[in-house]
Amino acid sequence: MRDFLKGKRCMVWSFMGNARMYEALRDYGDRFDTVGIFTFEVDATGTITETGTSISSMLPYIQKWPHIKWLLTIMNHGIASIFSALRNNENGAKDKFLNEIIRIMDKYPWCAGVDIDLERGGGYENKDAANALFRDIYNTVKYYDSTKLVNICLPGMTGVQGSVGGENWCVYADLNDYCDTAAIMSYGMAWAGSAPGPVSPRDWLEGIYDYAVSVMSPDKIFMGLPAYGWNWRIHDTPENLGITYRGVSNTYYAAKYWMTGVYNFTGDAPPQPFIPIVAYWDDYNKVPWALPHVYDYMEGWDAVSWEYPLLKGVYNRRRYLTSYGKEQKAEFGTIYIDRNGVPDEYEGNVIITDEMASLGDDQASAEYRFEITEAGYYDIAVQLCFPYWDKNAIIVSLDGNSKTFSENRLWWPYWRRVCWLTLAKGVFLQEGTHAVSISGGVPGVQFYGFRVCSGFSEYPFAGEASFMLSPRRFKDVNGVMVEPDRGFKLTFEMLRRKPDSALIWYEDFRDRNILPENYWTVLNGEWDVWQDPGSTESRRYSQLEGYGKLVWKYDGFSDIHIRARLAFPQNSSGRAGVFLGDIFCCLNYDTQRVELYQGTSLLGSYSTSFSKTADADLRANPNMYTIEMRKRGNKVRVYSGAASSLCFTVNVNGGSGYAGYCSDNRTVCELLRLGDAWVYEPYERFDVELPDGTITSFGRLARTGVTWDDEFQVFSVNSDVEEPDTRSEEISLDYDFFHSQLLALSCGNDYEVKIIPKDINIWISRLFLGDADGFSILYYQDVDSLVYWANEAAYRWKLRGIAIWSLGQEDMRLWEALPKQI
Amino acid sequence: MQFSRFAETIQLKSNNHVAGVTVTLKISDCTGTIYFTDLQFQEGDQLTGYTVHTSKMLTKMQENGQPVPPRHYNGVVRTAETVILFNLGKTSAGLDCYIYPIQDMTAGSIELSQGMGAHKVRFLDPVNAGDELALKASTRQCLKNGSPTRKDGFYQYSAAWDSKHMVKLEERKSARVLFEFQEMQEGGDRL
Repeated sequence: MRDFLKGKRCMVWSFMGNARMYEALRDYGDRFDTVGIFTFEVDATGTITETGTSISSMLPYIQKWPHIKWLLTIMNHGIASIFSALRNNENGAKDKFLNEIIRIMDKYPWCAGVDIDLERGGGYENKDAANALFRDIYNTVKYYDSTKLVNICLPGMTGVQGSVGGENWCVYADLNDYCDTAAIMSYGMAWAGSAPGPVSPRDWLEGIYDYAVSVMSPDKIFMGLPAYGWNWRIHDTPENLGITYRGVSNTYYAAKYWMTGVYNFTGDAPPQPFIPIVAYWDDYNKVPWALPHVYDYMEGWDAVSWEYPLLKGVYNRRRYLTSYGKEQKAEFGTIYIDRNGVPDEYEGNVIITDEMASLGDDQASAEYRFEITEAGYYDIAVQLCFPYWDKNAIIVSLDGNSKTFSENRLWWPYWRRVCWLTLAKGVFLQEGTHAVSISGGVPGVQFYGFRVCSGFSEYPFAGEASFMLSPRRFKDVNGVMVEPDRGFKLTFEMLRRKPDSALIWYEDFRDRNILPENYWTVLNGEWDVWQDPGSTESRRYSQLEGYGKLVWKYDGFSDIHIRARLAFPQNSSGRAGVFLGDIFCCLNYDTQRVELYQGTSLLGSYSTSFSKTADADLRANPNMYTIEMRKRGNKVRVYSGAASSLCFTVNVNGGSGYAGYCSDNRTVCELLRLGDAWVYEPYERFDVELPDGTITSFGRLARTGVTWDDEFQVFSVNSDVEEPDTRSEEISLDYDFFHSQLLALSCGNDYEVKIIPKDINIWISRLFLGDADGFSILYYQDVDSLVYWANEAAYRWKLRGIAIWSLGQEDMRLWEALPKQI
Repeated sequence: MQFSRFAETIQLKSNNHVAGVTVTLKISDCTGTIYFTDLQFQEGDQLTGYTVHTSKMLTKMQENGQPVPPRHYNGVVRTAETVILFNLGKTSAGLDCYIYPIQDMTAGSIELSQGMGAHKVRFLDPVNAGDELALKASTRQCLKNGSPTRKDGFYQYSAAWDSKHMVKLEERKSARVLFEFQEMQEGGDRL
């Protein structure tokens, strides 16, 4: 006989204890298959107490709906020490707990069994003990009465050790045998302290259930779905608002009150107007959301204009702007003389092209003459290119007064690029003929000419974007057109990142001119670059492959930070990694360790695991591993893993010369990055020019023990410390919100605001213009959302059904849309 | 108490017009009260039923015996959004849509539709920043700044519950939007 409820069973928990929860129990009990009675709390001794929903209040419904499996939910409210005490049987806690489970089943013989909800179980190292705990619970219940059921509540996992909340003790495959059913708590991706977003976003749900059904019996699994949402206040910082987190939980009905203009941010009373607003439907995540008291909003791409090097990017359907590198921005005022690099006269070995002159040896020189028609004070800028780290000096003279231009900072961002530098500032020039000449320095520096102008300045530029704010009045609940009581605030949603070493060279092997000999050389072995022949991108995915040593053509490296991302092909073995002089930092496939050598001496190691990649997957889906080292003086730090985890620190002697990639046997490398060992580039600051012309700076973190370079916005650590030690503030991997001061804007007008990133790699995600008294981003769950995922549970993953957290928070009309269970 | 309907086919003489019909109610062997409420003549020998007047089928949403006032929702749309209106009525209601473009938009660039894109309407004339574009199901008017303007498609309605509506504008441009409707409920059953 066909089971019409297959995949459609519904579990709920009695947590809220509100009138609506009891109303649902009374009127819609025929829609429930299982109810977890959220009453029983376990402590670190294993003792179970009754705290939540009173059993007496549940009895009428237990009697009314005998078809429901009434489970006694035993919870640990997220206290790690309780879970570990049970897991490790500290002071007999597990033994006591197992006896307590029998006690409560004895006390409430009508129960169908127990529901085990233990959170904060810690990392993967705890899995064996956790498995034993669940095994013992299951066996205890079944030994007591084999008809009693065990439901277990599991964190959302997208694989082994695939928890976003650190619950890596949980291995679905291991727990499958220790439960009759399992409710996967696949809600809480967005929470009070996170950036606003869906509580259960699609990508996370898909990751969890694709994995879960591959290692568990789908018939056992309830898909946990939220009946609640969050309202994140985004008009000011939590500190200024006197709250810990931005987010406040809301039921469907609370969301309805926001939409229908019942609530506001001034205590649900004037002065903030009461405005009925539309919600929006996120059709990817199948969830509604809203912007209470926001009068205008826009994404990065909605800028009316933006300037290079700001570029468009898309991540998770969010259209942001960012820059990946700074450009020099030069301004000249009035330009009186604009000369290229072709000289009027020259002596010796001078290489001359259409635009540029380059001195071939230190005896050569070239001269440029120019006419000043009116005596006065002028600025003179020269245009140079230092082609490489060892081609880094030239002498430029103005009427015989010489100035040496040289550069020794490996991370200086204008290497190999044409840039403008100041020869003279406010110099007085008589009417008549004058001369600029070049000589000396290091052969090979390129001179592209000069300008005589009224005012020269130059600075590194990460682009800027202009947005138009258009506040308009809304119609309030009484039909009156209204606007904010005090004025507006503008909130910026930005993504900051942790600093990385100041960049010397970024090599992903994707350039058309592959590894030019000017810059690269092979010390030994054979090297080639594979580039994806099927790609239509301008810079195709590429891999360096080979064995031996490939290096930058410069032997003066000393204190550097060097990182590689590499893979071991099917027939590979041995060591591969990065090196500096005789210091070799590598992954050793044979020993399954991260290792550091100086010469043939092994100085340190760190056990880990990595695998080879089958040839069929090598280009499209390789197992890439990151290896990196930072050398400062005689100390080397070794890091590995996607999160650049510090593995160990050792002392070395010397260590300078060539640097590059080294491999005993054939490996592939998709990234080789070189940075400065002491200098960091932060990815956090942006400035904003507000409509009144004022400029405000946002995002920069306070640091101690560092020295700033204000020109390039980089900093050096004053002592040999890790970068996180220079700051007390964490850098979120989530979106951050920054807030303007009160803005005096009038509805009906348009106002331009300009965002000027001072760092690269920050994302301009969204702007929100809202009522200074308060505005928010609100997510909630409606019937359409829950029904969509209930259908996915039933038909896509063929699960047992859904488990809704929690009864009493949902739109009650949901139950009309779900099938009767009897 | 439940009313019952009785039907009887009256056989007519084919060559005579009917000038009048007399209905006589007779009761025998019973007690109590019989209510005789309606009498309906229909052509043919099959009863096709009776439907209440449309004004009775669909009435304004009632609270405490009084119609609720019209409801409205504000918002901003940029490029395209599916907006949700909380229609707390028990059934569908005609929807009045107002669009106030923040920037000029070209002819045909503004569209409205229901749910996932059905029941679409497209505005055929260009609009300027600050215009009022009104599509009113209540009066069946399509207006720009109060004067008739062209459209291709349907007047809109709001479904009961969480009523979803697609609003499409020119890429990266925005508009203030306002939706108004009278929440409705069913006023009577088919008999």
